[in-house]
Amino acid sequence: MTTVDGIPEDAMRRLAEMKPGSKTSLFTSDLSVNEFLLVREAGFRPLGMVLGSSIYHVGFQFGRWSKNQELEVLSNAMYHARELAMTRMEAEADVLGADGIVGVRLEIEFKEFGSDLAEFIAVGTAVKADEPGQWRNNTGKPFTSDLSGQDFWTLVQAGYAPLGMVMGTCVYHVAHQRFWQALGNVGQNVEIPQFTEALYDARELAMSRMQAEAEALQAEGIVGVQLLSLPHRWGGHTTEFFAIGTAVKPLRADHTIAKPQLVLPLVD
Amino acid sequence: MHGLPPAAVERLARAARSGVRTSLLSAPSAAGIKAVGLEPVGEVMGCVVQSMVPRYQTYASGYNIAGIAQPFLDALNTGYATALGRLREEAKALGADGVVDIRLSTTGLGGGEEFLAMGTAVRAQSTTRPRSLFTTDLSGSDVAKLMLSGWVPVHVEWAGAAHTIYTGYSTNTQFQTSFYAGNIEVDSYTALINRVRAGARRRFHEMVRSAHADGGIVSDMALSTWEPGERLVAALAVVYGTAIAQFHADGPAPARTLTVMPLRRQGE
Repeated sequence: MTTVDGIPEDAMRRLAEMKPGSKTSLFTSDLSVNEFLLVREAGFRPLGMVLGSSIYHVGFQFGRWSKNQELEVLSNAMYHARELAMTRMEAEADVLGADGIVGVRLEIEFKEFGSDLAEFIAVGTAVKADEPGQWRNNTGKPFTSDLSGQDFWTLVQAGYAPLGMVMGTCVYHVAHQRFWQALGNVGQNVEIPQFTEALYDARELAMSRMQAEAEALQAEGIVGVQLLSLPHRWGGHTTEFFAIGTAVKPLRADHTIAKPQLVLPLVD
Repeated sequence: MHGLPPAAVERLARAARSGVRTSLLSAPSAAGIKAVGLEPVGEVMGCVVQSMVPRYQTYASGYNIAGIAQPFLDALNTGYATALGRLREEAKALGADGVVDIRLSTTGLGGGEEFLAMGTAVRAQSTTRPRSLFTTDLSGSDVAKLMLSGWVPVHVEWAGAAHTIYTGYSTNTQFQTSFYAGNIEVDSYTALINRVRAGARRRFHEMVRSAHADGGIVSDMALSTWEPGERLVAALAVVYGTAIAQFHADGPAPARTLTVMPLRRQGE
């Protein structure tokens, strides 16, 4: 294998002549090496890792034993706490003068000290475009995106810009079967209509809320949507349905990318 | 070779006599670093077993509550620094320019904690030698990708911050974590977590700066919380990653991305 000309020599010279970099250019990034290099190539500089966190006390709500219903108290909690974390992360990016935040991860961790307490955390890497442009969204905030560096690169190449992460949540209580109904179903392959309906309802609520957020951002569409069922700690019949994706707008009229080269990886 | 245990000194003497060059790299990593002119010269290790201060302490009046977790953090700092220092000593003795693919781990031993750093020492095919060894937790292929794009790893950095709060006299906390509180953010815990996370990130940033690097790539970020005593809540945040420096000042990176479509089944 041949060495690319000059690389070790130049790199070692830089290490031999270590001197303080200029104060403004120092950055930290939460991206992997692949993502970091792709984001650079997409024409963005990382400014710093940004983070927002909230420890939230999630309230309590009884679901009626035999009723399909949304538990609004819990839905509100899950939404509000994520919103707090995201807003704090965006505020940090704003201070850095960022155009956007890429590679955002939203995580929830229930804490040892208190069964109703959870930490909601949003982490990402604030970036600034090399070429000045209209990257912020219609709320004047930096754009946010949970896409990986690879997806972000492809999106920008294809002539789209992310506007913001959009999400919708619904905590739903699925009714228990009544005794006689449960007895009637024993040993039979039958649909349990109220379960099916409950899951349809809950997912629909989560997705329509996400869509409403995208409409508010005047997006053309949402990419990378994940629809998650998160049981958290509420027992078998209460589940959070969470829809999240990145709202995008077109940057130009044509949306073609270079035709990819086909490769056959010689690995197991 | 000062400060190394006798077994390590012996290992180095054997490596000096023998022409066999060992490495902990995977095959793609080994091929990757060769492409940028780095040769593995041997696997290196640093290890120390330390007795640790207890994480749990009872509250006594006049005690410095905020600093209860500090001795524990100091012990972690010393442990990792000693292990990494010994690893560097070994690499230096092998005539290496840097160490790649460093893995840090801890294992609990009765009454003590083992801190272990392992990596592969490499030597550059160049006439210039870095003023001091470069170290990184990035894999050989990640190092290759960085160097092909004009970046060189400088230093692996481990930064932590700890803080403890007493929630006994805060009626606010007691209310906010009670069953009746409903959906509410818990101010004291949120402040605590944000404080330690911000502290660890600031420390990481400072370490990247004092390494005279241009940026930092965060590999891992962790948070642990525990109750060191009655009504005490401690939090410890850690940020871990590699400081990197640019050796192709400004201008586009020399490597360009080629889009490929792998011809293999989904999920392989």
